[in-house]
Amino acid sequence: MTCKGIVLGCFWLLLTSLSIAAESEGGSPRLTGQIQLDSSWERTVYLSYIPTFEDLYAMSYDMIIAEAAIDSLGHFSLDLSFLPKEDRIYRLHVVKRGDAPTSLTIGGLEENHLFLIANGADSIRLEANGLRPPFRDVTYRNAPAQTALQEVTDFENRTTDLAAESNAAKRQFIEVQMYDQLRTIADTSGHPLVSLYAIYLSQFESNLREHTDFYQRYRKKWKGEGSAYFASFRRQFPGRPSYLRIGAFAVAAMSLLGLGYYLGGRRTPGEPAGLKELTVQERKIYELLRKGATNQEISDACHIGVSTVKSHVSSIYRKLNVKSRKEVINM
Amino acid sequence: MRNAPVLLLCSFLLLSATAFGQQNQNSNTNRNSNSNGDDTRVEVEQMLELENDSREDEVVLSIPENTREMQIKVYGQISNGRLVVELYDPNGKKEGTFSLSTKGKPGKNAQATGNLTKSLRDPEAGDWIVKILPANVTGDIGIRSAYIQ
Repeated sequence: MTCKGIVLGCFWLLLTSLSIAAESEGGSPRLTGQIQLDSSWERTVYLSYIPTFEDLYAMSYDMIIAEAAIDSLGHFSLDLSFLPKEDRIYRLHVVKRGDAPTSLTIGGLEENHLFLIANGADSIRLEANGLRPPFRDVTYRNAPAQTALQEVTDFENRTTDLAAESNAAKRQFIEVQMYDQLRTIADTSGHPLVSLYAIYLSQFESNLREHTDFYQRYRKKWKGEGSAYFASFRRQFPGRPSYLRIGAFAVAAMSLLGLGYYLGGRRTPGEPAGLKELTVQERKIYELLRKGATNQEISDACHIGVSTVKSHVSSIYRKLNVKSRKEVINM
Repeated sequence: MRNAPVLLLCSFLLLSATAFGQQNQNSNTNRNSNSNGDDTRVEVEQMLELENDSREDEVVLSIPENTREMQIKVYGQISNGRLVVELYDPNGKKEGTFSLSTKGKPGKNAQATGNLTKSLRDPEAGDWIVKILPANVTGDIGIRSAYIQ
């Protein structure tokens, strides 16, 4: 064996040992990353578990499940091995110096969090290149689910920023386009959590009636998804009534009828049913309607557009179960 | 004259009961307006102090027509209970929300805080509404709106 052979052999051994060491490091799933923070931020990063999409902007001590120090170069590393094996939604956040760990900032240059998909089996590597807010311009390495979720977040951020800088008419147009695009993303995404995240960002609660067919198809598509995220989403829709539910409904209806009769007797004379359902703005418009004000007069009095007035008036009609101004005046 | 102490005691009890009936919520509003050339900047700041409070409340921020820029900041800090804050535009569309809870807090003085910022050019005129939904909350809520006309 020549001297060259011995050197090559040692080199190969060294490489093999390093590779084994790297693999054993990679065997324990971790969330590692680098973040750019100025001196106003604490050097700690917190990981919170988000149990449903309704909790994206909820904050409490029991949601925080891990924390790690951020070094002077912005590096951090969190152990993920204790997480469940299936994908779930988590939130990573930092706080300002002196603030409690349970501090959440939404919107603006101080926004302090990002959402990610993680599990107890896979490591994640992220780079956050934005300074203000710190979790803008985030990229992931070899993490398709996180990348897909981040693309949805980036799209929503970009479009919302554009809408905020536009005039009212253009903003409305941009938002409608954004919600359409988010529904398309939800429809085409192969990852259930990415898809549902896009649905929640599209403010689905306010357009359920407008896009009934879409949501029926969507629920059918993800029928087999049994996670708490989808269970919570399904609860937003009225289900098919069972006999038990019909029975419970009948009992509730009878009780309400009785209560209505009791309260009806105590109601101030002339106060129509449904009046309490009106919002503050609708009550103001209702009073103006009773005085015989036109849409233009209401628009001037409330500092809102005529189209907005029309929308409020139809909502008032629906809540009061009337069909014309004459009926409102005669109430 | 013999009944004077009794009357005094009754008055004191009545006043105490009235004050208690108003619950422990205090609010404070500051309004500033500055003109600079053609621009008028109006800032309104409202502070609410909650003491074991569960009363729902709405704060209305009236944004006039022809407002060029608007910024609404809602801040909540609680040391007890659960607080949900929601921001709605004049059309009733939810523009933002956060919820805070002290569930699982490690120490007596531990707090949870939330900040929500909404900035818009040419905002929808009318009543922007901040809904406050507390459950046994002790803490502070600050609402600051600033707009330029």
